[in-house]
Amino acid sequence: MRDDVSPNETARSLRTPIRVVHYLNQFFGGIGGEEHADRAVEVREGVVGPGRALDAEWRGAAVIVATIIAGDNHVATWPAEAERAIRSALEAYRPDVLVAGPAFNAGRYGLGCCAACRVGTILGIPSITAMSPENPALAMHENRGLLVLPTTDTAIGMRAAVPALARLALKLGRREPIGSAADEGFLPRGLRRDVMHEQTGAERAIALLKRKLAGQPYRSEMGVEVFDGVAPAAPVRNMDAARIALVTTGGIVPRGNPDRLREYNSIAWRAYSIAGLSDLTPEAWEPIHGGYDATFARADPDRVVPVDALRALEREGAFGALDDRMYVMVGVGTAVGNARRFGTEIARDLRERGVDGVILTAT
Amino acid sequence: MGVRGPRLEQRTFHVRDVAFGSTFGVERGRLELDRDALAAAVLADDRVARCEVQLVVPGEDARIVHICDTVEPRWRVGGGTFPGWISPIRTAGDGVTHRLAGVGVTVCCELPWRATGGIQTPRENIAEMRGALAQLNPLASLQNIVLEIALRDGLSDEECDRAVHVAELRAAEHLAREATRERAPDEVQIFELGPAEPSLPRVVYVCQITSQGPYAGTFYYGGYLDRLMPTIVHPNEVLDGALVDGNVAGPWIRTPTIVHQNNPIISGLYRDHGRDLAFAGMVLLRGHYYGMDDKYRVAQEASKLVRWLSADGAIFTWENAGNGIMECLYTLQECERAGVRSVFLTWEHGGANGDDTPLQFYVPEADAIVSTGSIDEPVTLPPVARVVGGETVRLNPQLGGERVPAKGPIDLSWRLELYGGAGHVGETRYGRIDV
Amino acid sequence: MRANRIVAGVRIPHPVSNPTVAPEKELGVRTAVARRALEVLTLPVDGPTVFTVDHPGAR
Repeated sequence: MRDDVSPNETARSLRTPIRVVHYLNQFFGGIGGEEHADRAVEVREGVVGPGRALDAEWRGAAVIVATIIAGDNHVATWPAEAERAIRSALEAYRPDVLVAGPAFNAGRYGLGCCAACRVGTILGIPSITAMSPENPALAMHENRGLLVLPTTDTAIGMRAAVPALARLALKLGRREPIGSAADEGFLPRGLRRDVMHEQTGAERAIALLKRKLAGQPYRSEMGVEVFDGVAPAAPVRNMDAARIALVTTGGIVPRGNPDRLREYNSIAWRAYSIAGLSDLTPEAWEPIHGGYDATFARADPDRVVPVDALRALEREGAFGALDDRMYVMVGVGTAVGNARRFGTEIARDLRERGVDGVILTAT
Repeated sequence: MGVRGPRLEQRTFHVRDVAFGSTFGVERGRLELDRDALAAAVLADDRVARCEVQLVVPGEDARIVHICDTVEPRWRVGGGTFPGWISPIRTAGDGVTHRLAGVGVTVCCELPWRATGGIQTPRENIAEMRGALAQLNPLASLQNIVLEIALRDGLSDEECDRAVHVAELRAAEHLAREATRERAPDEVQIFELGPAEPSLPRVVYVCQITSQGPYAGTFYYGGYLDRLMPTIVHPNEVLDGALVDGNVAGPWIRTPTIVHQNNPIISGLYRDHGRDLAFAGMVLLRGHYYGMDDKYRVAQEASKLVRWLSADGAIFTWENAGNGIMECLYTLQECERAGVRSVFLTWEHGGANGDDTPLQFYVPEADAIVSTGSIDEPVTLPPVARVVGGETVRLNPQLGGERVPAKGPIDLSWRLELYGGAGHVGETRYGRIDV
Repeated sequence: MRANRIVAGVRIPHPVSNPTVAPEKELGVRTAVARRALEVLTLPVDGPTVFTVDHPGAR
């Protein structure tokens, strides 16, 4: 409980149970198995199925006021419709906390639980789910940031999962501060914060190595991320007529850096006109990137963005036309989230301009 | 190691207090120094046009700017201090060295900004002496003897790069020698890797430094490591001045010389040597090669050396930023594949809100990571009463450099300008956790 | 996110060029790299694929 809670507020919160909405799939919702996986979202008053185990843990401190049940296939196939229905239910009941699952390693159920939690989060309702760390739903970029407790792969772990889920859901519902992932037991959710440890980094590193060497269980202070992929764009079919654009993270800008682009840690990109230019001259262009040896690019910016080479190929007829715009940013130290945003925005621009292919030069 | 290794005897004089006086001496924790004589030692190098000596103490309402590096005063009895700089090139790590502990000699100099881009810009290195950010730099807990210097006009970047370090090293040696000669130390420590029980796991420390030209490299016996292959070094060499930090270009992402001299991975492994493990030696390499082929080459080479030291385990540290992480992690990957259990120590990104990707490169084998905190939070340095090293600081080299008063407040878009904050070799207690 | 069509560049400070070749030959290196990039845009790929440039100056 927070230290600054008044006695009246404490008494009131102890009297009034936390209101919970529980999300389940068609199976745990008691409707049936795979043959009912197309069931649309429905809402039942009160508790259903595994919710009873949660209620038993809470012993009146929290109570499930409604259960949302959705067919696994329905959610996977009609996500927008399912999310709308979930949203309506949550708006109607306005719970203190949303609990979804546990989903174990069921992929579509995991998707549904994550979708429900995303909707809850958008509505400002603290949301928590539980599933196997291997659940494919967790690898999806849009599910990064959700609060997820780890479970076993199968429902054999239901009894073990319930107490942790109940405990953390109650904390969330009471708006109590949540501790670190290590303390509370949830899976890293892509949110990190600086701390002062008791020991120096060197002491921790040596201690960690000794555990690893001794074959003892050890915990890394940071998880390994796997960068996701994107489906490749279809090949350019007719290069003779293709419009090609240049993009660079090498920070080649008009001399004087008129748009004040950063040398590191970009928060913006810019497009500059190369219309009518046969190359990038050092008098007109310069590298402002702070992360590579700019000596070579300073002498000839074409060494980072090969405008002269592309003009030569354009004259030769190797492709249709070089787009008038060159898109520029500085890559070093740039947050991945910002980079994603730049890519989306630039892609939109490229589409509008009828660009067929992009050459992106990186340093 | 098979052959009889070097023996370094460090005679430590603890310093708790520094004052200007008419002579040099250390007595019961108080260091007295002759300000003019120390400045004269620095000015003996005609590349230095001006030198003022200042004192700055922990907790002071002060800020030190234009920092080029910090070194712990050392004097090798009989000569040979800081080989490759002020004494001939000779493998360090043996003999008797006097050491003033609790003191740092910091050289401050406004180095020329000649370009508006590129990695070789001598950026502003700023150290807070109080406040939460003070915990992240090595100066806030030291008695600081600051050399405010100006260099002669007309020096090239390479000459400037060297001149500032000669200044600090000369001063540091002069100070250690004059203050401690013929005095008895408070403490004597012997660094010698004697034989260890064969059953103990053998641990190698893989230390990656950076080397990207003037203002952007770590010197090895006074030379750039650009072309040198990964090599085996004895830890005593690092403790004894083989590495001098020239990375003015990367304030947060550098390892100041004083930190190399007191490398806690080395002292920690020494402490455990013969007890929990056998400290089998060090592999030194540089990162940030400009082509993938070279990255693969050094990873193979460095991991080969780790295996030739019969390592069972290895600790990896790196410095600087960006693609330099790749050499270290590729080496770690090769080592893990060869059965060498590995731990990786690193700082991280994470974005201004802590929800972005921590590292820019990973290998799946890096499953034991120790984090020393994030660079990405914007910070505002508060106003201070006193600044040492300069009146203004320059920000945004890509805009030609914009000056703001060093007294502050100073708005920084991230922590890059904060001296030594990354904690590359685990010298701070700073870290980062999932929340 | 990982790029799908990757052309192996020359060196970080000059990814599409090679300042160590004779000056009159350097544009030829850039043209070879650019030409390869255009070619790669017309090729189907299944996932991240690295393509090299067949030109002595582009290594």
